[in-house]
Amino acid sequence: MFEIKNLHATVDGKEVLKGISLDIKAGEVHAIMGPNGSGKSTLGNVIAGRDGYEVTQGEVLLHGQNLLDLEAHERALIGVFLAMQYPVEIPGVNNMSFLKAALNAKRKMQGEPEVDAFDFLNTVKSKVKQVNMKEDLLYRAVNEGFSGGEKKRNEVLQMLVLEPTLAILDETDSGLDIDALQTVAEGVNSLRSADRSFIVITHYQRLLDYIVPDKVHVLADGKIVKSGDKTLAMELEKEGYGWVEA
Amino acid sequence: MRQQAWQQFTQQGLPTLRDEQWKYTPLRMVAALLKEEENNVGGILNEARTKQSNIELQFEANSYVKQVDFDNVAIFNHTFNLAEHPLAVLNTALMQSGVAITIPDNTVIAEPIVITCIANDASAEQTQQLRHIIKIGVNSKAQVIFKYESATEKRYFVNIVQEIHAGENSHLEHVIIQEQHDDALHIEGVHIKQAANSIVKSYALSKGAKLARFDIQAHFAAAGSSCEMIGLYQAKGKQHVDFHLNAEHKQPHCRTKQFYRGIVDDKAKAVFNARVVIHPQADKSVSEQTNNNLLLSNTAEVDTKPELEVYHDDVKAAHGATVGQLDKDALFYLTARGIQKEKAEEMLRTAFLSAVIDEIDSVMVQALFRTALGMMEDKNGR
Repeated sequence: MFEIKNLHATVDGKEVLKGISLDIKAGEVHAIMGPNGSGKSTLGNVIAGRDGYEVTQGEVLLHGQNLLDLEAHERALIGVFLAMQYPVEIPGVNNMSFLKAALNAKRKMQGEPEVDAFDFLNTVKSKVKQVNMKEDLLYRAVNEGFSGGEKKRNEVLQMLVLEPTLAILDETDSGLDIDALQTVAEGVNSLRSADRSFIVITHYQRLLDYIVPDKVHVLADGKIVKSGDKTLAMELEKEGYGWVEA
Repeated sequence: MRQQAWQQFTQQGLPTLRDEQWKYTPLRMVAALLKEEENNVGGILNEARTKQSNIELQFEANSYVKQVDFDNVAIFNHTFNLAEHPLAVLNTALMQSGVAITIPDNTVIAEPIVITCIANDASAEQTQQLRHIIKIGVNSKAQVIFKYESATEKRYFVNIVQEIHAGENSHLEHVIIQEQHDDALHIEGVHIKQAANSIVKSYALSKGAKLARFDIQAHFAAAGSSCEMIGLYQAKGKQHVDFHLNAEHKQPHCRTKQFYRGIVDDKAKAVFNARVVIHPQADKSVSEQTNNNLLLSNTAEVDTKPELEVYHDDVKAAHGATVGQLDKDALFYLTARGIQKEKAEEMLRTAFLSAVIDEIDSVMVQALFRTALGMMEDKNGR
């Protein structure tokens, strides 16, 4: 369903992804672990289409379509979702109208009419409960003044509303206490289905206690240096990254 | 009076870029028009006296709102110092039309008073001089809205002076919406004189005209007054927009708030110069000045200068200015959720301007501003 073939990317002329290949089947959860600066976040950003990265080689295929040919919003519309590591605060843009604009953009692409305001409100409110988020955050500006945990819950809320085909969670666990971590994981698990895949980027193994991956890859210096099943994450936790880099 | 003013004007002429208050405002297009007109009519002064302006004034005339009586010379030039305003000197010599709004004491006018000033084809290649006089009585309240529009595509110059007398304990909302065509030249001085405990809220929006210059000044004649100056500007192409705000605190317990935001694109230029002076005798003054700008192109330009002069210890005063671009991270965030780049940019521009619109008390004026700026979206998404 989702395939990365020999992906090379540079930032300011410096190569940060040095030939990454991945094959993720529909319904699978793949974890990408690795030390700081190994290229984990770059990989997420390149898939989602953030500016500032130059892809020098390779392909990124979702259902056979090369994402690299598409604008960031087009990638989102065909089902790519990046839960950001540092969700940005957007003063003056109301969280609810932003969610609605995003959902309507997707519905428009699918040839559906705009969402009914009443239905939308009910859907969103139930999902807000699901991620254990305070309802008044819906009526504030996007992420403005949100705590670290609230920002991450807001990311998961967006994911639940937009129901992506490929969700990438970029260190969504960083800065979360155990309660928030569990809520985030439950949100992700509730979306797991046979036609939806996940890439979970994380530095630590603890998130993977709650979101159990089908495969674990270790990224070091822009390359996947080791792949395995969920036990690889536990080994890493025990041995540290020095063990795979050596 | 006219003769004297004309003499003064012909002696001193238009301000030049060497004049501190006008150094960013290019008046050569105005000068060219004036010169040409003088050559054509031969005696612009006599012409002005006999002819109404080609700016059509549309309003509902009633006991409060009338045309200005230009024969009654005693009513002019009381809210500012003529020597400091060369364009007001020109206006004094040539003023042709305008509205006089007089609200008696103890009167609350619930309906907004709307004055629409429309330049027609006959105004082409001419200078037009408007003088509006507003008097709000003691304990009275009113909302006055001036809209400037064009029904011609030809260049003209409109020079406006507004004199506002806010009586004791009065409350005035004064609104300017400038949406003329992109070749108009617009200069406007709004001079506000406030009696004790009066509240004036000045809301201004400028998006049209080749050159738009506003001088909005508050004179606190007695203690306890408050003046808010809230405004927005948008400039693109080769437009030049220019706001000069001024408040002199010579009386105790007065409050000034100046909050302007602007978006500048293409090769346009914006100038924001706000000055608040707090004199030694102005106990417990409160002053707040904020100006934020968004530049949308590499060739757009902003000169912003909030000036604060404080000669007293017991005051609260803050000022700040920023010039920035659309936040790239915010743009990516929105597009990464499926929102088209153009739409995402529009959302961010709207958000930027909304912060100012939210400061406006009147929901009706908020709506007028949103419409003028093409912001149709329901803000709350509810």
